[in-house]
Amino acid sequence: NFNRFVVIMIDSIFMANERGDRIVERYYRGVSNKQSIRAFRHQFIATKKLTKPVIRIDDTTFFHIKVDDVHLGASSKENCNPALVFEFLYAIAGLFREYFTKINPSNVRDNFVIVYELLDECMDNGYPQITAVEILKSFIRLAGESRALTRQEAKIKKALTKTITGVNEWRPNKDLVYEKNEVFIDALESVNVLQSTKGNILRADVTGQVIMKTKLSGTPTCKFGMNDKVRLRKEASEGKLRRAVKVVSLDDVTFHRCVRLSKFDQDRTITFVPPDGEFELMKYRVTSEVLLPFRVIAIVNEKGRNRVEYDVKIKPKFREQLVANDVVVKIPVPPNATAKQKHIKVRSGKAKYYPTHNAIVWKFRRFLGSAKNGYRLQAEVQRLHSVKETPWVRPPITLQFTVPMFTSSGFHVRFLKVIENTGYSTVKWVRYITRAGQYQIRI
Amino acid sequence: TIVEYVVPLLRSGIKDSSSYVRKTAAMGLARLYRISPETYNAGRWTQALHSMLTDREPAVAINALNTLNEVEEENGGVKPEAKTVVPLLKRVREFNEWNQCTILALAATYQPSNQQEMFGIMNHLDPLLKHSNCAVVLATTKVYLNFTRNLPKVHFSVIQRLKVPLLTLMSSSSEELSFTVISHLKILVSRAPDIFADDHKHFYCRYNDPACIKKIKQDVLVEIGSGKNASELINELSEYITDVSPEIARQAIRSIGKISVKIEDVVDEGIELLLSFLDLGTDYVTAETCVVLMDILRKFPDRYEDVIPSLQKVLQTVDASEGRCAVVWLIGEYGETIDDAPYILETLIDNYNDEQSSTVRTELLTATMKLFFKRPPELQKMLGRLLDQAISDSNQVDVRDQALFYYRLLRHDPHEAARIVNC
Repeated sequence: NFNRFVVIMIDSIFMANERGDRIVERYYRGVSNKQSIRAFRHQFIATKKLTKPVIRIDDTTFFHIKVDDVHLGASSKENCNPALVFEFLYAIAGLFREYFTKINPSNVRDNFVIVYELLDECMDNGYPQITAVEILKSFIRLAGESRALTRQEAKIKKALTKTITGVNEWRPNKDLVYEKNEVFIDALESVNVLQSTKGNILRADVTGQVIMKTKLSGTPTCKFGMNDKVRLRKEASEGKLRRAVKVVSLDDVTFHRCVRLSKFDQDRTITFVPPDGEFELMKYRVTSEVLLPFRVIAIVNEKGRNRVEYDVKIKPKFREQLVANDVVVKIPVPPNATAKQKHIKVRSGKAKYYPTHNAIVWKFRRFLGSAKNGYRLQAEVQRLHSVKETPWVRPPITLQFTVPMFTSSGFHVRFLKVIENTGYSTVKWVRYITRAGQYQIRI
Repeated sequence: TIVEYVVPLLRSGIKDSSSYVRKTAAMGLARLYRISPETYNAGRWTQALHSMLTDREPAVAINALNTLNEVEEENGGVKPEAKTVVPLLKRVREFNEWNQCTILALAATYQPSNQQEMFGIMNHLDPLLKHSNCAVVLATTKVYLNFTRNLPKVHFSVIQRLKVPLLTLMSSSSEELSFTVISHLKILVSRAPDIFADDHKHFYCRYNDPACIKKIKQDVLVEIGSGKNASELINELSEYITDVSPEIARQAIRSIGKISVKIEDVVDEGIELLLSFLDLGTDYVTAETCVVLMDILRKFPDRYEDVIPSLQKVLQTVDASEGRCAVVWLIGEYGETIDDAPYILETLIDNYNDEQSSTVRTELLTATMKLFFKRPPELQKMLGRLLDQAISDSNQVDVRDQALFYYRLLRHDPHEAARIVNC
C-alpha cells in the first residue's frame, strides 16, 4: 500500500551567489540542516558541479534554480513533488522581481526586510501559503511607501484576510474605477525550428502566449474568442459561422488560474474574471501547418585544413507588406579560425566576424517581406592548423528576429467581450508578434 | 515553558472569525506537535482539526489537512477515506495551485469504491490537465495512473490522454521543469512505448539542452525505437557524435547499437553508420564504436564481413583499451576467415611490452589460443612466444596466471584445452 502522502515539505529555502557564498537562508522546520546546506554550497555551487537540478546529499534532497545572478534553492528530507518545488521557487523568484527587478546579491541586501517578509508569508512550516503578487503587494510594501492609506485602500485591507484565503484571490479590489476602460491583448509567438544538414525541416513548432493588460472597472467577466479549430468546427456545424475563417489547430493549451476550465472543456469558450493589470491569459502550442517566417539554406564546406567556405541564403516567407526587425543570423566558425577574416561578402545587411563568439554575425535592422529572392552571404574563413586536430563540432546556425503583425501558427483573436453590471464600453487593442525561439539550422 | 502560553492562544485561534488567524493556528498545531507531542496529545485537538477540513475558506482547510498528516504520522498520516477526500475533491477548483497539488496527492492514495466513482473523479479532474502550473498537471497524472493501475486497458488509454499535455510541458518549460517532466515521461514511455512511437521528434536533442536532459532523451529514443522509425532515429543519433561532451557522444553510439540490436531491419544501416564514425579519428568515438560493433556481431554473427576490414585499419590508430580489446576479440572469434589474422596478432605479440592494458593482454591471450586451435601451424610459434612473455612478466599477475593456466592445460592435453577455450 502507499505511504502517507507528502506532496511538499520544505525544510529550508536558501539563496547563494555564484561563488557559493550564503546570501539568504530561511529555515521552516527547525535548524537541523544548516550543515547540509553548507555542504551543498561548497561541494556543488562553488565547484560548479551543478549538473542536475535535483541533487541528493545523504538523506536531504536539494532543488535549485538559477535566476539572474543567484542560485535559489530548497531542501527537503521528504519525497516531495519536484515539479511543485520548482514551480514554487520560480513563483518566489517572480515575486522578488516584482519588488526589485533584478535578483542579484546587492539588491537582495538592500531589500533584506522585504525578502524575509515575503519568505514568511509564502511558506509556513514547509508548506506553500500565498504567492499571489496582487495580494502580497498590497500589504508588504517597499520602504518609503508607508503613507496614509486612502479610503479605498483601507477598505481593501479590511477585506484582505478574507480575500487571501478565499476564492477570487487574483482580483482583490472589487471597486476599481477607471475613466477609460481599456484592454490590451498581445499574442506573442516563439517559433522553434530544427533543420537538418540536408535542408529538411526535422521539427517545427510554435509556442505562444496571450498576454493581456486590463484597465477595467468593477468586476467584469470577459469572454475571449480565437480561431481554434475545435470551436470553429462546432460553430460551423451549428450553422453559426457566416464566412470561412482560417483555423489553427492548437495541440495543447494551458490557462491562467482565473479561467473557468470546466466551461472550456464543455464548449471551448474562455470565460474569466481578469486580474487587474498585466497577466498571461493562456499558453498554447502548435505543431501542424506552421508557417516558418524564414527559409535558410546553408552550404558549409571544409576545404582541407586551412579553409572553410560558407554559402548562406536567407529568404522571407511572410507577406510582402510585412517587415521583420532586428534579424540576426549567427553563423558558427571553427574555434581555430584566425583573428581577422577579410573574405565575407554580402549585398545587404551587415556581416562581421566576432572571434569571441566564434561566429560570423549577419544583421539586418529591417528585413522586407517584399525581398522575395532573399539575401546571400558568401565567406571564406581561414583557419590555423595545430598538431592535434580535433574535428570541428559544428554547432547549428541560429536565427533571431521579430516579425510584428505576423503569427507563424495562424492564430487570430476573433473577439473579446467584456460584460459588467454597469455595462460600460471598452476600447480593445490587439497586437501580434512572432519571434525566434530556438531556430536552429544544422550545418 | 512557552508551550503553556501557546496552548490557549491556539484554542481561541482555531475558532477566530478571521480566516487568516484560523489558518495560522491550524499550522501552529503542527508546530506544537513537533515541539512537544505530550502537550499536543493532552489537548485532544484532532477532533477540532477534522472539523476544520470543511472550513469555508480553502487556506484553512488545507493547513488543517497538512497538520493532520503530520500529527497522524505514526498511523500513516491522513487516511484517504471517502468522507475526507470526496468533499475536498468536489471543491478542488476553489483552491490555489499549491493546495490543489496537496488534494491531488491525497486523492492519489485513495481507492475509489467502484469503477463508476473512479471515472467520475477522473472526469471531474480532467480540466486540471490544462492548468498552467506544471505541478498540478503532474499531480493529476499521478491520480490517473494510480487509479488505473489494475486495469491495463484503461491504463493505456489514460497514458494516451496524458501524452499531449506532458509533451507540451516538456518542450515549453524551464530547464528544471523540463527535466522533471521528461524523467516522468521516461517511465511512461517504458510502460507503453508504442503510444509514443510517432512522437519521437519531440525527444530529439537540441544543441543547447543541458547534458542531463540529453541523456534522458537518448534513453527514451532507444525505448521507442520500432520498425517504423528506427532508421530515422539512428540517423538522428549519429548527429550527436560530434557533441561537445564525450559522455553524450558515447551514449549516442551505444544507443545506435542498442536500436540496431533490437530491430533487425536496421542492423545493416546501423553498421554502416558505425563504420563511418571510425573515419572521424576521434579517440573515444572510435573506442566506443568498436565495443558497440562487437556487441552487434555477438547477436548477428553473419555480418562480420562488412566489419572486419575497417576494424583492421583501426587497430593501428585506436588508443583506448576497450577499443583494442574489442578488435582483438573479433580476430579471435572470426580468425579462420580473416586471411591476415595471424599477422595482426603477431604484430601485437611482438609489441607486447608496448601494450600496457591488462584487459587487452588477457584478451590477446584468449584470442591467440582460439586462433591456434583453428589454424595451428601458423600460430604455434607465436603462441609460444606470447605465453613466454606473459608468464615472465610479474607486474600483471592476472595475465601471468591466465597464461600459466593455458600453458599447463596445453601440456596436459591439447584437445581438452581446445574444448575449454572454445566453449
